[in-house]
Amino acid sequence: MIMMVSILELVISFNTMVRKLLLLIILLIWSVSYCEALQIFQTPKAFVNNTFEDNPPKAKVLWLTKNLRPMVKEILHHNYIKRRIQYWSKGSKSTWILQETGKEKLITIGIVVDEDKISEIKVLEFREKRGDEIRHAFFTDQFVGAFLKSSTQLDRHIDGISGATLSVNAMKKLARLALYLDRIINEK
Amino acid sequence: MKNDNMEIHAVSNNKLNYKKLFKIWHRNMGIMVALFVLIFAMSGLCLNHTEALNLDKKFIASETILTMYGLDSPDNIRAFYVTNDWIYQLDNQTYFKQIKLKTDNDDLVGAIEFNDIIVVALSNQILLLTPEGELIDQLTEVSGLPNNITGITSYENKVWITNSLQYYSIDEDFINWQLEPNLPDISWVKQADISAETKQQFLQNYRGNGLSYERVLLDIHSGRIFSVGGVWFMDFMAILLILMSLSGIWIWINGSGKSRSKGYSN
Repeated sequence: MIMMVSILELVISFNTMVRKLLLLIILLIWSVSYCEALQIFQTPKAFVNNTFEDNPPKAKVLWLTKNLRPMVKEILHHNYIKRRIQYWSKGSKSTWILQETGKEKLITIGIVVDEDKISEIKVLEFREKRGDEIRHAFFTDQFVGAFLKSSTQLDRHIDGISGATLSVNAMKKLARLALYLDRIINEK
Repeated sequence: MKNDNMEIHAVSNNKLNYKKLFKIWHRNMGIMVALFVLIFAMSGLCLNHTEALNLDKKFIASETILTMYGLDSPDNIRAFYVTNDWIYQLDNQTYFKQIKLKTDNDDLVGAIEFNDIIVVALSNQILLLTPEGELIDQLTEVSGLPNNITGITSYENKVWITNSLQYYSIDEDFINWQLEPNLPDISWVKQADISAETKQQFLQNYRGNGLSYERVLLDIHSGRIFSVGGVWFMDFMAILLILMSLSGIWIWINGSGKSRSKGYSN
């Protein structure tokens, strides 16, 4: 009984502290509403320069012609946001800077394809409020070595990240698109 | 016997302390939520009668509230007239044919029509559009484009840009920019004069159909008017209200018979 009384006294003494804590929680919640911004992890220029060891070839463009658009649409479930796509290629390596909407805003992703396989994939610019966990190596490493086993499907399963499903989907689509476009430029 | 009395006394004191604690918490929570109960109730009352009060058809004129929603009237409107259509920018939002372009908040510098392509210069990027407004490509520094572009024009079948320090032209495929050592005598595209009527059209497009009273009341009711933090804050207040109701019931149930009957008689 004495112990219960002591606990009660302790609780009462906490009352003032709890009030301060409540105020702090309110202030914290209020401050959360102002946390959003464009996050640049690496500029596309730096990504291309790194890929080709500071000696990048001149950019080329691939027009998304009527022949290519149906397959691009099959991969993305909609048309690509641009009518043409820039890329840089030297030897067996091609580098793509692609964009896809996560939930509401565009995510810019750099992808390097070497000998029909992804050798690097990186989030360059992230504009969404949530889902930027896809930038971490524990996630992007799953794509390294991936190739298209059928016309547009990856050879492997990519584990998702809870709370970042739409960003994960965007990256998976762009990985497939880069591999498909690399195949197209190699056929030319 | 004496020990038993002491224990009864301690238990009785303990009960009193519990009641005191609940009353203190009940009072504190009541003070905290009072203002928000008023907001909940008044906004809820109005929302229940939206149609009767025409709240969905009346629009906010207050610049302060419009500013909160990012819908204030920007003083700085940049506009260029290209192929019988306007390309314009209000508060870093750029439109062509009433379509909002994704420009990462870069300033609109100019726009020209060149070989059936609309070339839009922004401070750190160039957009290539079809005459229908579809995006062909977005050229940035990765294509050799300099930052802080201040002018654009076409001259001798080439598109030229400047950053006020140097001059660049782009190849015929619109892929790579090259530095031009000599500047010919050219003039850069200038902003068009816009009439009050055209400006009003721009503002209307920028603000959509306007901000209704219903929208604002809904956002006040849910706390969304202060973004995500506001919603969580209102959730927090709602939880406090629930706790206050429960503590009120508890205090009533555990109140003395005398005070309860007194309460009824009153």
